[in-house]
Amino acid sequence: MELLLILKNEALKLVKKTRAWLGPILIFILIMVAFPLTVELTSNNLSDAFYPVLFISILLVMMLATEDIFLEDYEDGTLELFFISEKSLSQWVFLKIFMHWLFIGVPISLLGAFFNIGANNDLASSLMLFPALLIATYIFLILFCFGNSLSLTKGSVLGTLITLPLTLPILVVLGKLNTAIIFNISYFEFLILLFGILSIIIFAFPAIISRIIKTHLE
Amino acid sequence: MSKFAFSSFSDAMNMDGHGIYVWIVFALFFIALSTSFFIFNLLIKKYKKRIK
Amino acid sequence: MLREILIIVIKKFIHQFASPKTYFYQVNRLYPWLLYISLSIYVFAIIWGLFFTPKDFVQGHSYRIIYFHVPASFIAQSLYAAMAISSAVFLIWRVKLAAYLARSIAPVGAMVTFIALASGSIWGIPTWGTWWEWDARITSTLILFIMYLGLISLHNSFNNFDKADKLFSYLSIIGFVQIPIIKKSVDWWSSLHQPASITISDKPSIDPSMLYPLFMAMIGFAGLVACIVILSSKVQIYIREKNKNWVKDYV
Repeated sequence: MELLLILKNEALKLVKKTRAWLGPILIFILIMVAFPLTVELTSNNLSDAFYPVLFISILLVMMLATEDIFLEDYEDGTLELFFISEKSLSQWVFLKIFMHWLFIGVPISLLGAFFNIGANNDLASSLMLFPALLIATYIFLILFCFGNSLSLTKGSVLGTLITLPLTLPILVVLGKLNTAIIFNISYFEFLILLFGILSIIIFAFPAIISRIIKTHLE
Repeated sequence: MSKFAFSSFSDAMNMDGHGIYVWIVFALFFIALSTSFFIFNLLIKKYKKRIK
Repeated sequence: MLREILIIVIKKFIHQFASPKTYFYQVNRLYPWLLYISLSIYVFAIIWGLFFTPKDFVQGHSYRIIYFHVPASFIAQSLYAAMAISSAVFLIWRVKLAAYLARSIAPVGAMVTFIALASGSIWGIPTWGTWWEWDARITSTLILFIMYLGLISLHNSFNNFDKADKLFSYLSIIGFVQIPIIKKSVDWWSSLHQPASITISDKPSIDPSMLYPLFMAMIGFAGLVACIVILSSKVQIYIREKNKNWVKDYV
């Protein structure tokens, strides 16, 4: 019951603050629409360049989406309320990240799969890409939220910069997935690897983030 | 320990054309290690002075 | 009964050694010996490796960079592991000294990783024909270097040492996941970088005449880096314990 209340609360906050979720989605669309303009019309490089541009733009957009994710709650005292009450801060963090993923990660994954149809004229590869993007956006969101929590009082740039190295192995796996999708080999192995990484960090990181936030509040 | 691997000192410097790479790495390590020792000793002196 | 005595003795030992004062005096006594012994070993190993080992069949004399590059890479990863362990000790048992050590390892680790990357790049020119390649081992070592810099900048951005130490510790423990990725990257991904010549389970793929100076170079370099970490930790102690009487008495 309490979980549903927190979920509803976070959903309402996001709905009211439209730029928090719509902004990253629009930036993603802008990048994906703009990049073909930089590629020579007569060249065949568009489909080669598509996957790398897609993954990097998702990385960038997730970085933007988590900017100040905790700052507003830190400034208005919500975090302190959680700290002094008996309520679980890690639960709240988990649900906040989940809501952000629902509002930002899922639409971006859908759009990414849609743009793939446009770039590669291939519905099958889009169907393979979609679950991978769903998992990858969640992983990026969690990692950047971790970074933001570290530099809660010092501005978001420091936090995201120091967690960027942690996202690079995920980009390597996505690159391998790209090859797997194109040649249709070992696709499920890489998808399961991504899912395995997500399953470890999905509950562990909110607990760590809550401890970090408590350190800021002490 | 085997015998000396080069025929002369200049051959040891040249190393069949690869000497430049080896000696650049040698210089890099020497400079890095000695600079680290120097900087940390300098910092220790600085903080000791402050405490005095 | 015996178990209780053992627990008390261990706790007393850790409590004694874990005090910055005891650590400071102990390393002051140890430092000259460690410096001279490791310097002698390292210089001997380098001379042996550079001048008294045979030429490699494939790489010629450029393989001699191995006596610099491999110890540096190994120590760079080991330093991160040591830093992560110190951070864990600090977070779990609240041992101040562990936080000082973790913070003092970071700049040294960054320096060692940088020289490992630079020497690897220079070695790449005669061997691979390129000074840089975005392959698994090199990229993950670059990530390690960026992690060290991130840790240093995170710690420096907070004036409150306690908060800075805790946040530093959380990040260094999470970043520890990089170390197995670096170690295994060469095996997991088809890579330009050669696989490990020395492993725990298999016989080394490197000739003994080249292997012994390499081991000596690793030991010597590890000792020298330990000396630099000791100096760095002394700086940390001077910064953080400057108001303590024992520091004033010592100075």
